[in-house]
Amino acid sequence: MDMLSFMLLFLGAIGIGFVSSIGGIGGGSLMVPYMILVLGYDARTAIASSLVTIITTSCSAASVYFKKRLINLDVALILTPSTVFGAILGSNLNLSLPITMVKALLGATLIFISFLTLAKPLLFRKAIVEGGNLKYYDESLNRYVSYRLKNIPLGVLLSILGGFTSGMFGIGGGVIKVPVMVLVMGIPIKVAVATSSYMIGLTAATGSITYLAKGAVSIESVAALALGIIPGATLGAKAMGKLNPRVVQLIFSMIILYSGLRILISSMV
Amino acid sequence: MGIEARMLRYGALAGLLIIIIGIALKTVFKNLSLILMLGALTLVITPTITLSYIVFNALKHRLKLRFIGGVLTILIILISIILALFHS
Repeated sequence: MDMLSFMLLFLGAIGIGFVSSIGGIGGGSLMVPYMILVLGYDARTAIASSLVTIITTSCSAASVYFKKRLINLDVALILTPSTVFGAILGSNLNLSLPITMVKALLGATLIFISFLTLAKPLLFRKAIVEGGNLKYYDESLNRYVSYRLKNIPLGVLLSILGGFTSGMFGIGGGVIKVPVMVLVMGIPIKVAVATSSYMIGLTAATGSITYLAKGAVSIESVAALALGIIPGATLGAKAMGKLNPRVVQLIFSMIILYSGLRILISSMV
Repeated sequence: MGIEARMLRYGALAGLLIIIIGIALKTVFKNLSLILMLGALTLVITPTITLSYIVFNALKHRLKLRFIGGVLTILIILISIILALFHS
């Protein structure tokens, strides 16, 4: 890899980290289109490299959530076997399908993610947290919030989809895992985001094994992306009060929608 | 919970550091992809090692649900490693 490509990846990753941090959204769905559409990477290499990069961002985020005691390990370990299983299915399917089909499915998934990102705040408004035997300390409310788990079998089943999306398209899969936890299982949003951030690392690591064994990962790109995303996310966290997260989410959705359409069209030509 | 946080942070840092060293050395020496691979593998095993520690703690404190979920996850990851090695 030449110096210019490394720098372009690094600078792009700073922007991606910045936007992801402010909007509270995953970086994977921006990293993959950036690598394919802007830098001209092969779709499979972009997906595989993004997945390995996600491990670093997940480890960094989960370590903070572990300290804040926001991760519910019971929930994580109920759902992780199915997400990890989904990731294996996804990564193996990616490697066995023709590249044009992978690109078409990636385009369609990105379009779906853009709509889901826009709809998420509206959907979360309907989320009901029922009091129960589990609790977490909410810093903003300055008190403990109790909750209970519901619909566990359905949550486990839907988590396979989260893992599959992660392994197949090189994204974290939080875009599916968090709504499943909040809307289906009745978990408070803060706990769901924290728990999902830990699960994402395990899911991405499992999916990455398949890609690494096949030599599909550009490890230099992983370094450039990971080195850029971490300072980008820190800058984003500092700018958080100055920018409206809804506006950032709207811009993010539009970029993802445009990228999804372009990837979908390019797979057909 | 402090140990899990440290394991994740330092594991990811170590993986990244090995990759950066690999890239730096690659400009001087050729065929150093093994170091890059080692860095990537460090990243990949970091969450799994942390999970193993969580499973060990669950066993110690007799947290049945956590233990079963953790063991099941580790088994699936091991199967995926074996499958990947056979197909590569």
